[in-house]
Amino acid sequence: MTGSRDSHSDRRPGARWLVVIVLVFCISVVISMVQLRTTVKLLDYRPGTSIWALFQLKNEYRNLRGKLLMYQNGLVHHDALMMSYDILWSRFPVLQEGLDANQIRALEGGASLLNIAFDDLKSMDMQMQYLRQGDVAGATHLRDQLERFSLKIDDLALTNFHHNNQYFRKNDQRMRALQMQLGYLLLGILFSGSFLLWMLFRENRHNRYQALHDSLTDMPNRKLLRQHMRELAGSGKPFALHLLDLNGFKEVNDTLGHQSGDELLKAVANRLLESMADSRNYMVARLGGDEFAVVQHPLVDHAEAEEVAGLIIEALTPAFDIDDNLSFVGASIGTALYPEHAGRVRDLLSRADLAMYQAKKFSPVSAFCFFEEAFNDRLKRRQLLHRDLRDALQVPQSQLRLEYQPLVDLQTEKVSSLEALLRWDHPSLGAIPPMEAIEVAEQYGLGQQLGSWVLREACQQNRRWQDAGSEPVRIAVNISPSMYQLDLVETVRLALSQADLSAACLTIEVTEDTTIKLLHESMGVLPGLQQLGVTIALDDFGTGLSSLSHLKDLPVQVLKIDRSFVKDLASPEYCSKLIGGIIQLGHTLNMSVVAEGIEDSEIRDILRQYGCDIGQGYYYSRPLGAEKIPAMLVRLGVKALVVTQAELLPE
Amino acid sequence: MLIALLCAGSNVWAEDLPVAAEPGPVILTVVNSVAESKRYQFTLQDLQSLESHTFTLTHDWSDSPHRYTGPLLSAVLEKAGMKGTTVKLRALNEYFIEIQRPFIEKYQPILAWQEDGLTLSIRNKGPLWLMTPLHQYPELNEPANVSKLIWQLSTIEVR
Repeated sequence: MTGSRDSHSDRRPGARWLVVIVLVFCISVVISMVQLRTTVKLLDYRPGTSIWALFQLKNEYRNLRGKLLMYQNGLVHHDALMMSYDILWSRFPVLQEGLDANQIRALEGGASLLNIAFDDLKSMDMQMQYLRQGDVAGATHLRDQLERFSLKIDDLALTNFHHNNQYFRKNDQRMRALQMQLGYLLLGILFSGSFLLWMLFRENRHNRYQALHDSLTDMPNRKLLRQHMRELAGSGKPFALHLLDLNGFKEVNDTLGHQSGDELLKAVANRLLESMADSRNYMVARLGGDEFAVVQHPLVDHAEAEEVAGLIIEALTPAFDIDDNLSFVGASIGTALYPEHAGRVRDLLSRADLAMYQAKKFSPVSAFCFFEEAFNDRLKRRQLLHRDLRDALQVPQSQLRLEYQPLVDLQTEKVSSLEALLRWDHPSLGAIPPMEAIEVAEQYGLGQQLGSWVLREACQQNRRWQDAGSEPVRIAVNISPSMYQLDLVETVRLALSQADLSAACLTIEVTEDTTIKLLHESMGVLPGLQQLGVTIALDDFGTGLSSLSHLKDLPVQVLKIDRSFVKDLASPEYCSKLIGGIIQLGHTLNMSVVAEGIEDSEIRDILRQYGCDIGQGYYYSRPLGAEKIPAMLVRLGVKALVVTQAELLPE
Repeated sequence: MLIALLCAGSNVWAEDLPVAAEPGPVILTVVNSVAESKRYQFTLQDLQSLESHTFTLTHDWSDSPHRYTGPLLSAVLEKAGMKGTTVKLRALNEYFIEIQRPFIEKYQPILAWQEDGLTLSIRNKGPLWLMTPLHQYPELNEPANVSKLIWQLSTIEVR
């Protein structure tokens, strides 16, 4: 099974963690920027050249003192002495302005010492100018005066040197500390950044997984199933698509609740996976609701596909224990093969769907069905009929009409009632079988609309006949399953009152299957109709699965034996006693009994012999258009309508 | 003061004298260090007769901008007929620096003899101060380039 059971559970870090990580990331980045600026500032700092300048000053002091000595001894010209003096002079302003001055100012007493020394030097100007070559005392005096500041400046130079050294050392330390902090910050950025990246990838992967998987069962979803099939089809590999629709799921969901429904779906998913455990390449997917799919690949032949469908049914057969309730579900499986049944994935899906629909018809529990081309034709016809029926219902008289077949009292041979039968004259397909028309209506949600029209039309027609002078006659109208969802009692009452008919003029025919199935949901419907005074007949009796205990409780006055019992009544090997038993049963339950499908007098006689009350069939009359009814009523005569219930009982 | 200066004989500086017909003292000597016989001497007037350039800028030894005027070094070298590629500039106190032709060609430094309209004296880093256009080229403010701003320049040796 492709990636189906890896648990991608929600162990993702919470939003709180995400916030923390993002904060770490942002703070790291901001501090790093600040650090970077500080570092650049430190590196950009221009310390000046005060160390050099002070030592130069010192040097020029010594030079001048040397020059004085040489001059005193006649070794140099006065020009050279003055040049040395001027050069020393020029060294002062350098230390009193600009970058170097800043450094000197940082030293205690530095600036003032230089000021005093400079003033002192300036004060020697005249003496220097006029110093004569032989003036030993003057020269010595000047030299001593120079020496005084020379020493102090020596000290200043040394202090400045140490101070600067210290400053640079401190800066170095700061740089080292900054570097280390920067290292940590980089680590923080690296860590949080990679964490965020990791989360991004993880989230991405998670999202991709979710997009392709069903959240309840963790199975691949429809999208991934399609993808998988497209891949298989792309490489031209044959495979089988089994579509499963669960039977019995809705009941669990409705009776035990959605939570139990979900549990059941999970259990079904597990069963499916277990049954396919030997074939790891098969993809089991949930398409939504109670629909699953299995893609079987590799595939050799039909038999293999059949085998897998059988495995699925087998896997779902044992009871499911959901919340201590044993539940049974079956599966209708439709199988379509690639490339045999369709060359495109989309078509394959719809064909498997058709086959599944067919399987559902085979059995309400579990069945599987291979796709056949005929399904497709049927589907197309159904879709066409659906569209056209909806149009037809806009103006029912254009294509829809009712025919009426008499139900005849077997004793008096008079008409006891008329059964209204739907006729659909399709413009291109001709007459549509009533069963098919009703199936289409039910399948596409037009059942209520169609049923209501039939009811109204039958009542109106009855009114028209009576208005034209016919004797009042009862009309029987069939009720389709979806009409139970209406307020049926109210609908019937309205139809009667609009046609100004008494309730005695109407029989509602319900089928055994529908009635039993809906008995719980629509418990009040039949008693309600009974209270209205409408007769209720149980149609197709004997074909359904109703239990006799239900039959006993139903407010039904008429039992209609299905034509299949009547058909073979004349053949000698047929155990006609069965009919007798049914008639007996009906009478025991105070019901009058109708036999359908009477085609000749022989059968009529047998039925009459068994005490059957009423007969219906070609022997008396085929269904006739409304216009032919009054004449027929005159020909056969009408059994007088008696409103009391007692009249309906067997005589 | 004037008398004193006159008495001092040759110890006379241009700034203190009106411009006279008599040529002033030599303030710059340019020597070809390969062939020492080739030398060229400039008085202040000689330098003033060359096309003069002015930079207004702030340097490491000032807190405010100053205006420096003087001929281009390249013009001085051309005038002296020196074609060598390495130029050694020497100060009165024997401090010297060396620059190469490409540096001169690129930045065109001047030999400033005037600051803010006043002739530079030795006391004020004269008679000549090599000034580069610090205000135009940021890289010239780097310590290595700042140290090229030699003052009290007196000799240039080219090779």
